[in-house]
Amino acid sequence: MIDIIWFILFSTALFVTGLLGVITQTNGIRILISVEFMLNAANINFIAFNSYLGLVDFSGWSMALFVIAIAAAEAAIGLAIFISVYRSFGDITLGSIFSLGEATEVE
Amino acid sequence: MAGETTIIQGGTFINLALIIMLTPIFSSFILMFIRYLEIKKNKEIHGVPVYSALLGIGSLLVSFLFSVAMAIMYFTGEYGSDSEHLTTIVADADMIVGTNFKFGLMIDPLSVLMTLLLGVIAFLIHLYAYEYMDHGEPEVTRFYAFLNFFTGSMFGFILSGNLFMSFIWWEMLGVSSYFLIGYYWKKDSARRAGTKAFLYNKVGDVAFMVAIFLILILHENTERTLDYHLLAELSIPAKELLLPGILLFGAAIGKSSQFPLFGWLPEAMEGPTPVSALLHSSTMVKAGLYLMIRNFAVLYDIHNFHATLPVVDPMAAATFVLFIGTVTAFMGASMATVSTDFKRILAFSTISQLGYIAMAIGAGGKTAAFYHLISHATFKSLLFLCAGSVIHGSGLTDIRTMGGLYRKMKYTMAATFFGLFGLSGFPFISSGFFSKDAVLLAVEKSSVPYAEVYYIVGVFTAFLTAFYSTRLFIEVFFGKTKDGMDKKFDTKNSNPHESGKYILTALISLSVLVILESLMWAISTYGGITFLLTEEWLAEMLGVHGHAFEWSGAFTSFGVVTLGYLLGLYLYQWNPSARDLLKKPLGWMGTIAENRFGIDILINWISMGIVVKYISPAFAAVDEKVIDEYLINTVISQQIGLGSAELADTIDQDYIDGAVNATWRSTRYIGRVFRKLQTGLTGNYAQYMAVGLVLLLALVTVLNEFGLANLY
Amino acid sequence: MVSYGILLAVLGILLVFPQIMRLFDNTLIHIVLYFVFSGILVYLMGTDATILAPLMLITTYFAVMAVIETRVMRAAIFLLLAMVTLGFSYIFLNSEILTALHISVYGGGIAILVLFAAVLIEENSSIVDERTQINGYIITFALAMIMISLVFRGIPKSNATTSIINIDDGFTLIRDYSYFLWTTYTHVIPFLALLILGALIGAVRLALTDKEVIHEEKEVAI
Repeated sequence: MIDIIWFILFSTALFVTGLLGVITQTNGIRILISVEFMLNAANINFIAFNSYLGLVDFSGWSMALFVIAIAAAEAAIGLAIFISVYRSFGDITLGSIFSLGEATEVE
Repeated sequence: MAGETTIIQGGTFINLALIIMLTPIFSSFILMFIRYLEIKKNKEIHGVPVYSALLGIGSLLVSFLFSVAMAIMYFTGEYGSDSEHLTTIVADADMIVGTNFKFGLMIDPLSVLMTLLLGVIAFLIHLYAYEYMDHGEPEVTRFYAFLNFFTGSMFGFILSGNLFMSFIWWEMLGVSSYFLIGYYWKKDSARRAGTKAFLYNKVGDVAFMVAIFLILILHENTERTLDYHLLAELSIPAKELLLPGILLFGAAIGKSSQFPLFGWLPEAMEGPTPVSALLHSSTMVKAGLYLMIRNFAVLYDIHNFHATLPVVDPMAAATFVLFIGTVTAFMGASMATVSTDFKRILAFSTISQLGYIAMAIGAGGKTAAFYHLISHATFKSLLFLCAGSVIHGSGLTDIRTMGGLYRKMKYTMAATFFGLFGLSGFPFISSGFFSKDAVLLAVEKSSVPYAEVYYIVGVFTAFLTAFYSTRLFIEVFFGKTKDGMDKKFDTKNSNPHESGKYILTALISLSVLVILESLMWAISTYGGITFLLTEEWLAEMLGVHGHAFEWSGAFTSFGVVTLGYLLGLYLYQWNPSARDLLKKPLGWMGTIAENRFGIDILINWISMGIVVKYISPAFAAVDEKVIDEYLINTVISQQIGLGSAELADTIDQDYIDGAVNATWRSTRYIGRVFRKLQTGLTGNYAQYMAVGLVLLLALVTVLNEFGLANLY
Repeated sequence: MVSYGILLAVLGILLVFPQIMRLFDNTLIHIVLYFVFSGILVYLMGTDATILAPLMLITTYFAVMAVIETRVMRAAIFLLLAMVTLGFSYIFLNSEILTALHISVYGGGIAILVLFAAVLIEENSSIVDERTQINGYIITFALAMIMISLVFRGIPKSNATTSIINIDDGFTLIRDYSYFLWTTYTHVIPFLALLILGALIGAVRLALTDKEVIHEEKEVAI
């Protein structure tokens, strides 16, 4: 069995990728995709530790289950919102929807 | 040294203490609510409304009676603290679980005596205020509310059982002082005085906070505690206590107006006279010194009190205290000698006497300090009440315009006489004589290096005290004009009258108190009997024995005090024209004293400098010219006209203005900067979150290297 | 404990590999590069990782492509692929159950959702300005460094504080709860799945009813 450090590294790589996506993207759906990666990274960590610490009570799996369920619910709601936003604004680029932003002119 | 000390938890005394403490505070809240109702109903009120007077004076009556009861029960009851057996009663409740921050009460001889003192004086002053504040002020409810709040906080401060509680009450004292000084808020000078007092006190508060934390982290190996009764028992090497000792005294410097932070006290006379009598002469300004007496163990290791100290270093905190006290005493007395406003003279005199108490603490005379604290509180509050009576009766405040008042205000004159009798330390029989003598004796015999120098300064200050007391008395009540005629009061412009029954009751009661104290202490010292409230008895209670009364010291005092009286009489009654002759050679000293030795100017200049340096870069885009002009003008004119008191006032204005402007401008600037962060773009927000996460993780990792944060 | 350098090298390879792959168009070269890099990884990670290293490599490749790709549809496809390959790697952690769960939920559920959304929304906006991109790279680089260094300090032992299997007071620790969820009461999960399936069908039915109304609205609005 390989060292657990590699799984942790793997999860770090995925998390970092997801984070990069969240920061750089403007398209809402792509942001959702990146968020899914971040959640997955956490999942890998849970399951890896579950296995490596020899947890006979499978707490790692339960946490992973929670995460999966929440990710699914969040993706569903997020996409529903995006579709309505697309219907109202015709545009899903998060940078161009300004209703909640601060006025950029200095008073 | 007293016998053993037992510590009891809870009991009747705690309930008494809580009643004493909380009654005024509750009544102050009720009064504030009443004031709100008054404002809502838009009533025109003249004089003092009966309900607020009843509530205000009534709550103080309750506290006073209960404090007397507590004193009687404590000293003669079954808990009887007598010279064999001291009882300390404590009560604790956790404020924040798991830390040292708790509510705490402590009842021991020191707090019981101080509570008694405060109870008497506060009650009398509340009574006095009923008549004093009746010149048509519509807001007297507010006055009683604040005054009650102050008294309650002071009781709380005296009875608090650990440093943290003391700090909380201390802050409340500062707040009430601000409100009360700025009571006549419509007057510009009053508002400024209140702010000045608050800010000067704040410097002391910072020192207090740092001292508390230092004391908390001192006990590395033992149980960390802030409780007084536990702190006194811990043996901590004196070197570690140096910084907390100095910082605790820093708190006293701020609140008890020692050098260099005494500038707020003369300005605090803008408040109504009852406020000056209660806060700024007998109670609030004593708070800092009370704190030092409480924490006496920080300055002096009580158990080895009389052992020779081989190293000078551990004495450095005590030396600091002694030095500051002496300087303050001298400065206060000299400023009082040249001042011309009745209340200002008393304010400077207070500064001087507070310096005396600090001297005693620094020299190791805990008993002498508390002794002088008690006697000074009595006669200084009496003197302020007399000042109020004179001002109320004649409408004047400058003593040069008074004179010849003895015909019209006989009772006030008698009361003032007794007050000054104590203040100047009339030889051999007055309470002030005994206490000041005890202080000077403690300084002379102290083991602090160069104590003799301080002793000499203290003796000279006693001479000055006698001198200005005589000056005050003569100028106000008698006085001769320059051509040698008796001053008769000019009845065309104002009609001075004796004050009414409430004021007189307060005056007479306090005079009786002064006389009683003097008699008791005289009997005890000359007769050698020790009974309640004498110095010997106090020493047993406080655990530190002073030095026995010595005739050599008494004769020195007698000599200088009589000299002061004679000089005062000569210059002001027998040969007034001699004053003009003295102006040439001694005028420069007078000017220095009038400008308060430049301390206030120095402080203003430093603050202005810091304020400008701090916010100038931030102002680069906005309004820089105005501030520059302000600053350049005042600095240049300051260098030209240093000797002018008018200039001191202008700088005062700029300091306050600059500080206020700084606050709103910097807030606005920070607001602008932070508003730019709200872009509305989720990518940016995600960025911020990620940056935050990175920084947090980095911090934890780095701290983990140093063992300060555990990752696992 | 593995050295810091090797960790960094592996992380670097994982993240850089997709960029290298993008440079070439030829599929053959892609496959060759894949094997080469897998070889490098296996060398660095030790021969125990012979199967896992390629798996990790391909998953990271799909993940990075999903993030970098400009067309949304493609990004969604990459997401699907990444989830599936990720699911496979769970098998090597003795959790076959989770493999099934992962592939069905993520792959069959979320990725399909995203795909549908990508179909409905035809928007191919580009990435943000230079400044944010650079910021993003810096932040992610810093985070990766910190996380590696955190791990490098040592792996903690299990921290579950109290012991389990006494359920008189109910489930207060996740240990207790998960012990029962995965051994005695395993049927809870499929039951829940059926429940949610019912809800899903109901929702679809409701949505179909609403669709006509929406059509009406649209006509009126125009």
